[in-house]
Amino acid sequence: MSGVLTDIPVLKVTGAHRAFAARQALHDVSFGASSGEIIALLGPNGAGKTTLMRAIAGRLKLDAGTVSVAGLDPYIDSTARAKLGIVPQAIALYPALTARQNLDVFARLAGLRGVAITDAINLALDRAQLAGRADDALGSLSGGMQRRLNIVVGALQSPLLLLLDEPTVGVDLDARQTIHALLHDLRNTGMSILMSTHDFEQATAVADRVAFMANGRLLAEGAVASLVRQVFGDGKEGVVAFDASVGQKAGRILMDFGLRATSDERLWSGPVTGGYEALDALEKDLEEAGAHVAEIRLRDPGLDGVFMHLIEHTS
Amino acid sequence: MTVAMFRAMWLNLLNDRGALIMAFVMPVVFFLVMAEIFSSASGSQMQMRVAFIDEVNDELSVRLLDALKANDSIKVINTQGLGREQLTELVIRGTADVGLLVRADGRRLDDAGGFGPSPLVLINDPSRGVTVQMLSGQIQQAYFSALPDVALGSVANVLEDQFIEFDDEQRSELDEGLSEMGAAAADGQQVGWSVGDIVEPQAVTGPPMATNHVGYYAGAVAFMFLLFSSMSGATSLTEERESGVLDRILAAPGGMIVMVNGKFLFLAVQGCVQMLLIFLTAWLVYGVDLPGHWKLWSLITLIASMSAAGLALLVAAVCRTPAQARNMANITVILLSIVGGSMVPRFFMPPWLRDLGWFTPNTWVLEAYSSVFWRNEGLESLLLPCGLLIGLTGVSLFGAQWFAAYRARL
Repeated sequence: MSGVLTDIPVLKVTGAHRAFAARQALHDVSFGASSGEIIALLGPNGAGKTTLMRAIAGRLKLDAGTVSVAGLDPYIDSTARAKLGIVPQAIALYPALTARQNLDVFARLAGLRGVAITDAINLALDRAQLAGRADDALGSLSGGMQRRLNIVVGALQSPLLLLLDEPTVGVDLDARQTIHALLHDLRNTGMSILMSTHDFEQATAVADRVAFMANGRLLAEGAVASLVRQVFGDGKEGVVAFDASVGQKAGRILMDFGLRATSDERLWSGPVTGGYEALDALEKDLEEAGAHVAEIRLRDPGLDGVFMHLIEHTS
Repeated sequence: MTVAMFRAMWLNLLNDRGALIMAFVMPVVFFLVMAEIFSSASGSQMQMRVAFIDEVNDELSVRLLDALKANDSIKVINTQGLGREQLTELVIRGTADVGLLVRADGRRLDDAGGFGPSPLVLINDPSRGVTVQMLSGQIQQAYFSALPDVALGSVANVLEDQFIEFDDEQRSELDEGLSEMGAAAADGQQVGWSVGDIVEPQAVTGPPMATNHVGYYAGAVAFMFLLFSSMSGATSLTEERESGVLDRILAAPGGMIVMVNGKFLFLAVQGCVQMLLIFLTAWLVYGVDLPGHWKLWSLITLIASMSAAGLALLVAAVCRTPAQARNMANITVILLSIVGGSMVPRFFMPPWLRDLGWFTPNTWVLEAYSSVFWRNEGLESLLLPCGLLIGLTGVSLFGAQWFAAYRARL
């Protein structure tokens, strides 16, 4: 099924609204995905990522707007749902079964029959680098192995769109790299991957495009480099750290300079156009205002800086 | 640290309503139900359903039966226009716990020590054997309180029959005889006469009592464990919802219906195997006639397993979390098993609890097995119990599918 390029987009979300009682979980979200790309859905808890993913998976009816997967509504059309692969955040497998048995069960549930099952299992084991551990019980596999198996199970029937929720939660750095490589492998087959994550670093490393969500709204979307350039231009990102929260006067100086406090009030960041000379002047002003600067530096801007900027401008 | 741990346990319990109910509400409910059963079974409140037929219908029999009917521990079953055969039928069907026949072809009631068939026949089901002792006691009481002239007359008859005249020589003989009688009684020998002479227990047709009891408990215990294992298996429905397996399955072509139906099929097959193992043991060890009834047994077992599977899936589907499902499953199985007769035979229960039993699958499963293994009845006797169980299966399976789909959309 994957790799079939048609005029119909793999995913199209248009004007999606959904409220839970008084809380607006999705507010006029429009969004799309083409085949063979990885999209990271970024945002804090409560941003609306899970609601959007559930709507795409056909598990949630929208109050207004539409979702289509390969041109079909996944809420009412099981054919659309069959084009989806789901990879939940938890290890959604049977713990008492071996890796191969898990693959076999989910291949059959996905509708595969006969030799297609064996082929899909062997391909999945190869992709997850688990051919040597295929007959070991799930519980005896490491956390990283279980995560890889969790992902390839979702891709068994070669879906058009793979929905992943926090695919690297609780795994070490090596395992993360292996999982990133696995996601690129799947993307290269033509599969489209929509990945919900809090992890800006992971999104930068893996995603072709990112979409930022907050308070049920889609704040921005695009390629990582493009979004960074939109916010920072060719400039750098300035970072100022303090030992303690700063006073009102120092806070005003920082804000006038264009920096904003992160979730940690001792850490401020934002676009800087004047290079280190501008930072030196800022440091001097802050010392005069009685704020002791622990660290001040320039860095290449990243998605966290973009997100801070978007939140600031939205609010 | 110890207090902190205590606090953690307390808060966990406080936040889990199911566990709270299991810990503090259900024990009280179980106590109340069991207390009701055992206080009833221990005597004062126990009410036997007795069907009377008087073929003699003379002054003595009427007085005796009137005295029995006035007894609070006896509930009279209407037998107007019925004969001996219908009386036996009432006991076989369980409409009456025991039948009392004053038979026309027996001795008179005032001829207690005489020869010939007993004047009273207690028609009983061996599975409720205790009714014979209970009703015999009530008859004895009624005989001596309601018919004192008959009782004393019988004593005089016995004296006349055995000792004839009361002259000196006979007095000596009488004293000697009474002395011998006392000595014999002291040796544990049965002497003289008792109410046993006027009552003849007669079991309705069926297998021997011991096999009968095992047949009952095989069905009762098997269905209770069938419910337990089905509930345990069905809990996976909520576990899969929590682990995310459900999300995967819902994206698959079959969706929720396939998931619930697959589990239903497995639980039903597992239940059949469990029932087979228990009944095989009952056959091999206690002689319950499984080979002689294997066709009807298979039908009942299949339907019973399906009803347990459907009910278990409904309970699991209604619950939000695995913990809630486990608690709810335990509560449901224990309540159904107590009220339905899987733990205590329903005969020991007070009438209101017995009537409540008809709302449990346990009662109907036991009823179906009883029809086959005790009463040697055919397929037609299974129409009502099996029909109701099939209905329960359909309703609960549909309910399970609906609730599972509803929960998945939340």
